[in-house]
Amino acid sequence: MAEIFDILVGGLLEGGVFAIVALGFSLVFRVANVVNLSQGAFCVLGAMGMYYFQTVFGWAILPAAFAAVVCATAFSLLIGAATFVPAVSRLPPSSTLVLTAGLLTFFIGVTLVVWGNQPYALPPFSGEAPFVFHGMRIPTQGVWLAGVSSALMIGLWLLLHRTTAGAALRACAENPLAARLMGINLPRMMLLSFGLAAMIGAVGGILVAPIMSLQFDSGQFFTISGFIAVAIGGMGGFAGSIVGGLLLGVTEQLAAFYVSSLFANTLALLLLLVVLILRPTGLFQAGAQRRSDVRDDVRVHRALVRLQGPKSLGFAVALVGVLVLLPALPLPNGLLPSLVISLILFIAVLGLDVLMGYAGQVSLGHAGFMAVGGYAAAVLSTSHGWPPLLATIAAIALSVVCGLLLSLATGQLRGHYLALATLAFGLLIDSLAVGLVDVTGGPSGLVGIPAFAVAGFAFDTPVRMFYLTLGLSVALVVMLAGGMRLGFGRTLKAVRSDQLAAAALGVNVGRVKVVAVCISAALAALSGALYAFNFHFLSPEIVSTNRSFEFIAMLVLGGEGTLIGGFFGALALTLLPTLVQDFAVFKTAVEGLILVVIFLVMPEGLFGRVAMWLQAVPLPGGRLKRMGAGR
Amino acid sequence: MTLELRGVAAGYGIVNVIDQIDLTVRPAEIVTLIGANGAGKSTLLKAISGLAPVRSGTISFNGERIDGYSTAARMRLGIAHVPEGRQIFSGLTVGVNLQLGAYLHRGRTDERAATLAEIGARFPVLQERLSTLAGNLSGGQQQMLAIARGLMAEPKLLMLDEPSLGLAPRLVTEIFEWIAHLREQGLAILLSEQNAWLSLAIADRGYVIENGRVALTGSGQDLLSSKEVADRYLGVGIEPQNGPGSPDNELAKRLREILGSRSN
Ligand SMILES: Nc1ncnc2c1ncn2[C@@H]1O[C@H](COP(=O)(O)OP(=O)(O)OP(=O)(O)O)[C@@H](O)[C@H]1O
Ligand SMILES: [Mg+2]
Repeated sequence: MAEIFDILVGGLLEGGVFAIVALGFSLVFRVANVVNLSQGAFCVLGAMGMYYFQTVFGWAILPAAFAAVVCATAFSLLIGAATFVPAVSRLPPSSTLVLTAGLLTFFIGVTLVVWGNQPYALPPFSGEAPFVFHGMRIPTQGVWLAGVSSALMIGLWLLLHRTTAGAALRACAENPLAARLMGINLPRMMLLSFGLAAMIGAVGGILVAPIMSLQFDSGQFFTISGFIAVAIGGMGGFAGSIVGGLLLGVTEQLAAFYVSSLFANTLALLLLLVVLILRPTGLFQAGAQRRSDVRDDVRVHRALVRLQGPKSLGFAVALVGVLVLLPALPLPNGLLPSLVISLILFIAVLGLDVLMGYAGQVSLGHAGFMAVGGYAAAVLSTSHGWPPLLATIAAIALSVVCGLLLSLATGQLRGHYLALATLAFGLLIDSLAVGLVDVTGGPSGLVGIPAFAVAGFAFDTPVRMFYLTLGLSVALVVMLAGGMRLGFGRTLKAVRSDQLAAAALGVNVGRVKVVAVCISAALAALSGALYAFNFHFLSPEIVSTNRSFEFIAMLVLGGEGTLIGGFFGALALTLLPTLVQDFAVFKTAVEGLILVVIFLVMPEGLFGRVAMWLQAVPLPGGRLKRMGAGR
Repeated sequence: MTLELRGVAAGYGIVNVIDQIDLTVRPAEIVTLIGANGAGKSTLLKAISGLAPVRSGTISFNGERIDGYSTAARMRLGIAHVPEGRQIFSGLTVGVNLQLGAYLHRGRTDERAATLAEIGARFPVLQERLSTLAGNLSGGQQQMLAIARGLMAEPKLLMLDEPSLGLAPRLVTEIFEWIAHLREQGLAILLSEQNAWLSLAIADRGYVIENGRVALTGSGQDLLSSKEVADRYLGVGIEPQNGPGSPDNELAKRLREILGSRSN
């Protein structure tokens, strides 16, 4: 009895913070119609500020907390004004979602640089001795947490329902066009909601830091937990956010206690997927349902740039020629293995490009398929002694089945909810990779995976792996490029630019999307298998949600919808850390920054730029194709 | 207050929807825009309120050039735009909708309360339902709310985009009566309407928009009696409908009575 009480208290405490993050999500979603995935990072920024003011500068609790919240909020306003607000008015919501994933990565990277990778804990505000009530022990920090989050919720409610500024915020969420006609400054309101949400997050981080030790990447944990909470509770609803947060906290504690702490997340994610599929708007309907988005009219869609005709052929031949000759050259140490990694990751990015660049569907869980493929191939070839080729084929098949199931289950979802469902899928696979210790080796990973081999020929040197991956990549690009020129590519394009119109023209949009998901799942699985065979090792970290974000960064950096562009993205993000000494610590921050900046200033990507330059060179038949694209 | 458009072109993306528009609205004047679907009437109103960017030409309000101003800045000068399709905040209450109408005057609480009382008196339907969600109002009530919300800003120029769309004839009359009353109070009104007959009947002047340009302009009466307008916008078979005792004619007669006091 006392035990279950402790678990419940622990769950409610943790859930309190999730609820606070969820509240921030809901606030921004209501005003800007975007899920701000960077939300959780502000918890860590707040706690980090608190640590400096309290522990390093020796300030008292209240001034330190106040200063930390002010700093975190000011920082968020700067970042929000520079990135989030312009993105919301310029980009389609799915791109803004990805941009906020980039912001999250950026914040995590910044925290890593400033804070290092060790965990920090703050002293509890009112000492260690718990508060005893009828023989039940409640940590005093829990009282703080409960008190402050209730106050926050009430304050937020009063702000939104009792002030003109609050009415204006709600008006922006309801109908941005009409809000403009009332003289409401829309960008300022978005920034206000972004800053308010950051402030709430910072307060939550400060409150929870004494209970939960935080480290640089805790922001992701908060974002994910808050996101699960808000999606369960109902995006945009404040009461739902709170209930969702508390529910999640308790579920996780119960699962951790009765099943395994490694599975804490799994149950919640399963719950979330079920909720998303059955009731995309959450268990508790948010008060106001958002109407169609008028801003879509005026938004400039990302332009896709592709090379066509002889120029693309020439470019491809030149590129492959250079690559084929590379191993013969005196390369600096470690370059060839890095190239192998780039090519392996490129195969996965290629799959993502089919999905995002061609079918226009955001996937935040692409690494989930890589995990399915990687682990299946690794387990089959080690525990069951299958030959690697057969294991790889089986792994791809399994991943395709997963893709099929996922896309059938989520067939009714659109836009945000679909993107969020893919995130949930990736996280679920993540948590399974960690939790299924007997199969996957758990957090420490699987070792002793053999090298890839075909008919007794083992690809066990970097040079052999290089030619294998290069050959596969070229073959895949040629196949896909061919496919895209045929009917299928045209269908995909139609779906990307206008789903309704495509459906009206008789395109079976559902089936086209399922096929795109399956292709992308197959390629991600192949990439995962190759990765495992190349390193003889696989761990959950390698195929985590971070990897999913990295794939998107690679694709966007290289150039969406170009097939080949992803190679340059993968190459750049793989080589940068190895080329620049001491760069490793900055890698995360730079990756996040690249994603954000590219989205805002160079939406066509690196290869898109190259293609534009090549286009400028006059050559008969070299035609640049520009597409105004939808989502 | 006078609104002056000189050679205005505006549109979306790279295409101009309206071009070379010259238009004037003077104080206490009802000016009607008529035109086929897609002619560019709504775009013209959006160009004036700043929702559609002006590509060339000038818009001035009281002699002040406003085409570079933000929407909020134009609203502050006294322009209110009641857009097509009502665009009320359906998830907020009627009261909050009205309150937001006066968003630009949010500092002046007393004045705002006075305006609210005045508008409540004019729209008793709304007054009774201040705490109802706007989305739960009937279509006609929503249209009234949209107009009332526009009035909350205490504008000098009120632009109404198809205020009669989808309303029962009785409500259409009511709305046109209000419009006439508003003019009595010195408000200038720019009206875009499909219901050419009625809107020209109450208008001081009218503009016929075709393919984004002004095709014809003149006093409301002149336009009503012009053959071109009759052929194209008053519809075939308008004669029998306009015969004595026809609903449209009755409406027009009533409206002329209302307006009579000042148009002579
Ligand atoms: N947001 C928009 N983006 C792109 N084109 C638009 C947009 N709004 C209107 N248009 C185009 O501009 C043209 C004029 O539209 P507008 O709404 O001004 O017509 P209108 O005269 O008000 O027609 P109606 O009587 O049907 O309301 C149309 O061809 C329409 O397709
Ligand atoms: Mg119109």
